[in-house]
Amino acid sequence: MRAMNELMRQAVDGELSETEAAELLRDTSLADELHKTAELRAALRGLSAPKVRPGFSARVLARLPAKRSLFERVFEALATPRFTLRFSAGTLTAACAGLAVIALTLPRASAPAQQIQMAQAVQTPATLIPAAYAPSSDEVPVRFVVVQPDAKDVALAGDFNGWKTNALHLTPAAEPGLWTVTVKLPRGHHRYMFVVDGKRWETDPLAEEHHRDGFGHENAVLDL
Amino acid sequence: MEDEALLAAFASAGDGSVRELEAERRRTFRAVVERYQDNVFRLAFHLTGSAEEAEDIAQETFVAAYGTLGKLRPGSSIEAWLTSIAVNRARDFLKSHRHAKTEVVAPDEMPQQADRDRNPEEVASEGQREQLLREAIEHLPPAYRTVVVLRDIEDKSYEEIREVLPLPLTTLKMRVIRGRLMLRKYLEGRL
Repeated sequence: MRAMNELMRQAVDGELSETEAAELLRDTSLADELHKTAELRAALRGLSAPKVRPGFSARVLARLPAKRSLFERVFEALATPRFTLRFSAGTLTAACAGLAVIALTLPRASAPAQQIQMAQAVQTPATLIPAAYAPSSDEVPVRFVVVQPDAKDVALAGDFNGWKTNALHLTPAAEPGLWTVTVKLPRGHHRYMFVVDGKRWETDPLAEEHHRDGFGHENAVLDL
Repeated sequence: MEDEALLAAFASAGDGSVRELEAERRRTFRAVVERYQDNVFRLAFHLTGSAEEAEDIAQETFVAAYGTLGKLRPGSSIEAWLTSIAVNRARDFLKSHRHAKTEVVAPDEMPQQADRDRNPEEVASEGQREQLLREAIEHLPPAYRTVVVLRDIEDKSYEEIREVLPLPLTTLKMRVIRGRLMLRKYLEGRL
């Protein structure tokens, strides 16, 4: 059967000589099979196909990847984000809490070493950072942080407490030389200074704004 | 422009900046696309039975070809190379869309005598006959469909087919035989 099929294939594909084909056609059953297969092949060869739609080459060219220079490829690699953050209300709250923690540790962990060293050298109060932020609230918790390695006491005095030098005391943090205190302040414009050991007034060198106080010092300014 | 000239033009395109080189290559490649788009589309259509799929496969074929056209050896046949890519793309498509219909036809069963005696022209008009032929091709398993399309519809020689499908010649011929028998079986029950 297999040999016969191959013989018929040869006949249909035109691989047999006239003599061989004539010999094959003497068998009427084979001739009928051969005729049917040849007819099928002729029908297949005559199958039509739709034409490609106009504009095909333009559509292909539009899909080709753009060839870019080395500079463009490097720039894209650097500029392409590798991941995307998606926030839900819960994760946003958690993220804010996490950022607050990071902010609180910033003077120890992330502030430029040069700034910290400079503050220590002059023994000046170092920084003031809002610890948390509630846009709808009238009061904003603010954490004051200062580096005073040789101080025995550090107080916070400002217009929000009548410039009392003994009302708000900072406490030593785990990091040696670091003093902190968190207070709730009403929104608005505030001026303040640190009082070291009850007698020395020090401004906050890292405050965004300073105003002269008329007594030879500069008050740090905080806008909430 | 002949294949040799197209390949040479593509390989030597642009001695200037990256953008000039790219623009010149695209112009040459457009000539390649416009020369072979009908052949590639027709082949993809016969392999998939769908004009929509054929358009996608033909586009993918040329996009894939663009990346390696410059690496073709001088004297290579662009058509054979495009055919090879198109067949592989179509085969991937057929594998992912294989359905139960491919199991209906048994290749070893010969047509019944009563069916053989019927004249197809008495049963179906030419349009219906063509439609039945397409159905029959769609029912072929992908391995058989590919060789039948290449051999009997595209009229490729066995050597040309072997450039596209690296099969032993005896295996290829056996698939052609069985593919034809499957088609006859399918058609003779319906015409």
